[in-house]
Amino acid sequence: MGKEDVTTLYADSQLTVGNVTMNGPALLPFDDLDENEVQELMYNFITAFMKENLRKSSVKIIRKDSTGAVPEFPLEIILQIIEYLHPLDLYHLTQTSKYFRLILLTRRLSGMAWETALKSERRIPPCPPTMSPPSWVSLLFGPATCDRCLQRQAMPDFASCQRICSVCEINLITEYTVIWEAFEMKYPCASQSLYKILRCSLKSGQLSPVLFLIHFLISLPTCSDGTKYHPGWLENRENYIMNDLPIKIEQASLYLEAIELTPSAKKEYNAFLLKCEDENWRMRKVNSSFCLFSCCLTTTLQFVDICRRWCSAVYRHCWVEFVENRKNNFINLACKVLVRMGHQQQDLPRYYINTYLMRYFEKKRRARFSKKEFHSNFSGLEALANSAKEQRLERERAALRKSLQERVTSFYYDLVQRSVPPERWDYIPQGHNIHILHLPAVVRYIDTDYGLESNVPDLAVTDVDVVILDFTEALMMKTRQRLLHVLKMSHPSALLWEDDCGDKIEKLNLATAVFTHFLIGSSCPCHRSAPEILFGCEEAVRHGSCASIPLFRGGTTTCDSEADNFGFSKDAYNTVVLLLRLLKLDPHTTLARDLDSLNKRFVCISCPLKSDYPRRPEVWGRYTMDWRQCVSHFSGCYYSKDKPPRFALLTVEATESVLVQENDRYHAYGNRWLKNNTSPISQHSLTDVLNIYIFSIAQRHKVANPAEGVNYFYRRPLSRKYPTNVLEFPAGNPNRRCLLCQGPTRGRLWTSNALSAHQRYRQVFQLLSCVVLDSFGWTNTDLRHDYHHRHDLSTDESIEGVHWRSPSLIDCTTDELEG
Amino acid sequence: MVILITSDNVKYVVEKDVAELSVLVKNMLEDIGPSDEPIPLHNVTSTVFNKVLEYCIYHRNDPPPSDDDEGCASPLHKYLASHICSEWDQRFFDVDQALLFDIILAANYLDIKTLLDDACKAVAHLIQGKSTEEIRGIFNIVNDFTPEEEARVKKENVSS
Repeated sequence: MGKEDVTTLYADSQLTVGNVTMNGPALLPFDDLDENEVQELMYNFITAFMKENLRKSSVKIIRKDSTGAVPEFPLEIILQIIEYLHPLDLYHLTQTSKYFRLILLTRRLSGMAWETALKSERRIPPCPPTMSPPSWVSLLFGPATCDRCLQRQAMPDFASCQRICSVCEINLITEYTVIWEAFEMKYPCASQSLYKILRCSLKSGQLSPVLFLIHFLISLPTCSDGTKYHPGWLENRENYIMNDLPIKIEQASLYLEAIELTPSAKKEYNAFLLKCEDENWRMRKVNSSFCLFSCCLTTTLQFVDICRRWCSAVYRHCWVEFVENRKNNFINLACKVLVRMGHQQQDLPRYYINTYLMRYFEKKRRARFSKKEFHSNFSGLEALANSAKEQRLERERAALRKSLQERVTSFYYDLVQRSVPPERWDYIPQGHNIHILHLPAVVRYIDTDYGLESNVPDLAVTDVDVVILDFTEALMMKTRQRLLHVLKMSHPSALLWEDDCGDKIEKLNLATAVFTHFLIGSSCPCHRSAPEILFGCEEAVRHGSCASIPLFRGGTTTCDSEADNFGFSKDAYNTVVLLLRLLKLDPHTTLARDLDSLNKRFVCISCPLKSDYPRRPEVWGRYTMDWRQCVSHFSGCYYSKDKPPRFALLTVEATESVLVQENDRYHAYGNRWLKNNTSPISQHSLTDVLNIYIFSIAQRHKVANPAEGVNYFYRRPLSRKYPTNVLEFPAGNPNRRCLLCQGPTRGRLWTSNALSAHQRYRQVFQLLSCVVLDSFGWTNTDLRHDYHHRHDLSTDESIEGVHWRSPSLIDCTTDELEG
Repeated sequence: MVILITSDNVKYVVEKDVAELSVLVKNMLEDIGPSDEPIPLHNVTSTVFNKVLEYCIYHRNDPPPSDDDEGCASPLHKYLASHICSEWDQRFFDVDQALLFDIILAANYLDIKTLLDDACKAVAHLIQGKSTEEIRGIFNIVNDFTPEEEARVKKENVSS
């Protein structure tokens, strides 16, 4: 079993950097530790992090032979080279040979290089003043071994500026406590003076919280989240160890022993104390001022905190990278083995393999597997691969089916265009219709396993075309039979036809042949939406293939009227008959197309007046409808079935105006003409805009000097004086006609209730709405009174001297019909 | 034009402004005055001098490095400057390692400051991100630590 075949993922439950506990993503237990990897990740992660970045950024210069040696260079060249190096590189260089170690650890030679390197590398905390750059770099990138025992692994502790393992830490504290207590017991009077020089150690640069707990409490720094340090942090105050405590105690003991023998030796002891204080030059100033002392302490602790947080961030980054790499290794190994077992790379879902492996490792309480283990325990992975393969094949099959369906559809359209007369095109279904795709020959063609798409035969060489043509012919006949069957069963005139007319098929085109059609899918009558109303055979045959059950499957033409989704609408029939009576036409002979050609318009007089323009509340009216819309309107779900249908037929001139408006693409939505022909120009004044408009009109309509009111109009600023229902159109627009004078379309048109008139008839036209309302019995006195009130007109005042004729909008209404 | 003779007796006729990029040559020219006498370059072989000449010709129009600027430059500026290397320079220093070291020695001997700086950067790039063993291997550094010393060096942190 090769080394590359074994991959292990390690997970530590927690890791402590100094006093900060870093909880890594402890995904898995780790029992098989590769020492080098763990040391690199767990303890030398800062080095790993820096090395990774350095390697990425380094320029590769290939070494082509082994001659040449840097040590042969003059010292000044070596010093120049090391000026360009990273702190980590400098640290590595110190370990290469004695010569380089001497150069790099001599402040006079390489001090500048170290400082430059540290200042240039912004990703690591700056070197504290109490440490030399090499020792600081060594603390960060150095070996992950305890400085005291040189055996156990240790993290950098920025408080004591050393790497010390937990065992040594406890031992050291015990040892120091014993030494201190022994000294204090032996020389109770001297402990105070010794304490002064020990509390600030030059060697470690740190304080002794064992003795200065009170100072800690006073000057406790605040964390970034606003809280004080965690209590546990204070409990770990032993971390702040004075490295030189035993040395100083030993030296002081010698002096104190001498004092016991020779009292004059006290002078030398005092000199020793002063000398120690002088050595602690930085803290000497602090001794005289408690505030300065606290400040210094705070600064130190803040620095330690920054370093720990940085360290923690680096660790987390490395840990995430490590875990991701390991996971990828596991997955790659699993994929590699599966590929060797005959699976294809595309059938190996990495996400599922990862999940499977993680579950397996969790169950086994370890993260390790090999090829052998794979073969014995990972049948589930094979199942995953097989399942993925099945899914892929299924996807491919579905894609091929879809492709073949599209091919059939395309072929179908070509065939129909070539072989079916255009007048029958309405009878045949769309190419993607389920009946086409369910024809046995088509099903056989689509469902055959060809393997590859290139093996699929061309449809022209099959018998599919014959089957399709037979089907369309049968469908046409069947549809007519179905519709006729529906009429025969439900139409009130069915018996009449039998007596009078032998040509039953023609009856399908009667205006009274009104069918209902339910949408496919709403098989349950309770849940069916409102049926679609279809008028005559021409509309109904388009839905001939939309049977709710596959009536034509297999080419059979059985008729099942109960299952059919066609029906006859009695309400619609009654409405059509009513409209035909209004038009004085015979329901038994009038065809739908005849009624269409009359182009008549109606309004529903049962509906209340309403305003459909929220911004124009003064415009009230009703919608005009053709006969089909009337039927749909009455059959619609919003119409109260308690009331009989009531419609009014518009006069010819009113109908013309309505037809013009129906065809008018500039329908009542403001001055669309201006908007459509010019670009909005907001930064210009009104005059500028108008000039640009005029220029645009001149260009577009080839008019040398466009005249206002003839060739163009523009909207004046709105005021109360001018109602907002103004429409402005260019001269010569054929789609616009004045309702009152029927004259040429020159001049400003006003619109109201979907009718238009020239500006000069504005007042009359405004009144017209009221007059019309009154003539229909649709009293809206509020509207009229409001108008009169606003225009200071008497309600009874007649309009004289204006060119207009009384319009007759309504020809007759269904209320006037007898019976 | 200036005539230069390398240590292996190869004669080069070089334009004066190119030759004067070398402070050594420039000083010698000033000392001997206008003369057609060839200037011997005892410590430079023709192979190395070809490369040096290539560099000098390419950089003949570069502004001369100012000592004042260098003195005032911040460490960060210097660091950034050390990482800015043109593509031509990168290709130029993509050479045999022995030749690279010879170029450094030649640049030092001829006193061509820019060449020396760039070559030192190239060597620094070689060291970047390498472990101790890799550095030893690349530069033929003999490990003169005793096993005990090496173990201690590896395990101990540098004390302040």
